[in-house]
Amino acid sequence: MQNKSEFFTMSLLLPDRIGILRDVTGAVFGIGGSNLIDLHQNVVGMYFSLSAYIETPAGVTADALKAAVLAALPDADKAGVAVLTAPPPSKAGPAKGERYVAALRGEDRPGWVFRAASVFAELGVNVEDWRHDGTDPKHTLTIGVVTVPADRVAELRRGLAEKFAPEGISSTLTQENIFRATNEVGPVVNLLDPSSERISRNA
Amino acid sequence: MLETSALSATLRMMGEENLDVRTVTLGVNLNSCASEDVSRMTNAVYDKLCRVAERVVPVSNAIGERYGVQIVNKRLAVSPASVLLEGHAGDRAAAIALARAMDRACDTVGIDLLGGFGGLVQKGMTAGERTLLDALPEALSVTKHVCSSWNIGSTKAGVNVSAARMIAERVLDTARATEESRGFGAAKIVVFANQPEDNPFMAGAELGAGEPESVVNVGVSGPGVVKRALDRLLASRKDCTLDEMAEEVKHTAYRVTRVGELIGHEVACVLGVPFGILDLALAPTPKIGDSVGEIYQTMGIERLGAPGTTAAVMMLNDAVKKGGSFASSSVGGLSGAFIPVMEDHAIEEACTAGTLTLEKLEAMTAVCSVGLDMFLVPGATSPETIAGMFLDEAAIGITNRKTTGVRVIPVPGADVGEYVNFGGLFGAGTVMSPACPSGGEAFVRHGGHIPAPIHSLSN
Repeated sequence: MQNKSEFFTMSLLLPDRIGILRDVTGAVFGIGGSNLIDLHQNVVGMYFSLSAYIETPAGVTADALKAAVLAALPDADKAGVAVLTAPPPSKAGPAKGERYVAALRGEDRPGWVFRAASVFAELGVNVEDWRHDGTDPKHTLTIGVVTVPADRVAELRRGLAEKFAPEGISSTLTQENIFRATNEVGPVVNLLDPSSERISRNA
Repeated sequence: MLETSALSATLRMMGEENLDVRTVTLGVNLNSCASEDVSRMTNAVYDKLCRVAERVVPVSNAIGERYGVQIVNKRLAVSPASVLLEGHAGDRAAAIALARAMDRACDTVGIDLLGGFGGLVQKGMTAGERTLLDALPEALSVTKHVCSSWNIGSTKAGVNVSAARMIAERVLDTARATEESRGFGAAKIVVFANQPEDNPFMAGAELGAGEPESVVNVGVSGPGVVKRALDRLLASRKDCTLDEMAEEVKHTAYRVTRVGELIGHEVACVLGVPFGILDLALAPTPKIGDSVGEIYQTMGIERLGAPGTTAAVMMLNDAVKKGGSFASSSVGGLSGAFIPVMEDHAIEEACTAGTLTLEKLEAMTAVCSVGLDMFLVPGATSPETIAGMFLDEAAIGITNRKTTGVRVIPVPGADVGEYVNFGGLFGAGTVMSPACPSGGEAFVRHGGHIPAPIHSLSN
């Protein structure tokens, strides 16, 4: 049976200017009404950085998608674009567990992210989202969302502390719901596992 | 992912400011344990507490580990123990046996404090309550974990003056019975007006008459978190106004409350009991940086006790309640700012220096969330003087429709000015005295009942 769709993941880097998102998304939409399933864009070091997960009509190739995007950019010679064939959407990721926010704070020095990422990899922890803010070298923050297996939480917390505390860098590993509870307005109970039963006060 | 700026306040609370959940308190109704046979009753109490509370400590520890938030204390609050003694009027041995059974259960399940060994006497004292009260000094001297609370007044009921005097006598007896620990037994007795039914903090926790069979009530604290939020505000804007400070406290209280409620619901779900309330109380410890007094100093009250102190207490208490009430519809207990003398190094230092007097503390209780707490008086203080303190606090509470309380420690053999250190979370302090320590004895000895204030007729 033929697939009705193709799926691709695309990554793009370009010196930032007005109109890039329009150009890129216009190019994608122009391929038979292709659809953006997921997109993340920000500016890093004055460069427009975009990651996207795209569904196109059957028969579209990675090369064709890349060519269409480059054709839409007047400054394509300054762009870096990579398009890879991707599997259809799936909820399963490489790691099982709960989402935690891992954070390191302190005076900047080279190798932080590498060392933290090494700890994550050793313990089977998947990094879903990461950012590093070193604009103030005395108060650098590196922070991200990681998926941690339930039986590895304490070990990860200890591992980060052992690796960074001797250098005066503080580390925290906090379950994601703590941040959602303190930054969102809405009933806290909505953050609990929907399968967990809340007990009535009446016998 | 949330923006880092939105995360930073929470990150600071978790990483640098050591936010914790001060207590998870499991309420357990013991009324089903009543029996004409004392042994059957005490065995039933022990068994029920062990069964219901078996997993409180490991579950709390596991959830604290999962979220990265320490749950400092795991405690128990029971229905008023005097109810179990109604069938054993006059039998002090039964009351002692009951206290011992509760104490053993705490040892078995790993709980450090249990509240509810007391009674509700605002309108009168039953035989069971009288029996428990008479046994109280011995009960608290032979147990480690049991705490006692007595409600002597309410806005609806007025104040039971006769009971206040009887309880004052037992407080003195308890102090004498624990003389070897400088009267520490009295630190486990609190006298209230308008006692909340769901307070998770000791020594005044109990499972009130309207509460369910069992329930999880959570106490969060965080004076250090609030102080550091104000420090940052003042560092960025030295000329900020008091309303801007109040706003900062309110926002901080919001975050602290939300963390506590999340943890509380999780603990309740795993234990299979209902979640009750979240008590957002700025409850200090003697540790520097974990002090409510330091918050007032940050707000500009350089010497606690100076004019303006009461206003500062009011503002802080109000801002905490506002932030907490927006965060959760389940805020209850005491919720607000505590002023325990021995448990707060800044307050204790001010009392020792003489700038913060008992009279000023009494004024502050009109606007804080508890009362005269953890203060030392000479062991020779008369019961009428101590009862007078109970009555003064009760008058403030019932008139202002708020909870007030007294936890006073008469130190045997000590006089005004002597320094006593209980150590640990109970802290240290200097023996104090009211400016006028006697002269109201005849008022107290009249006994009877102070009628409920006019606004109790609210129908």
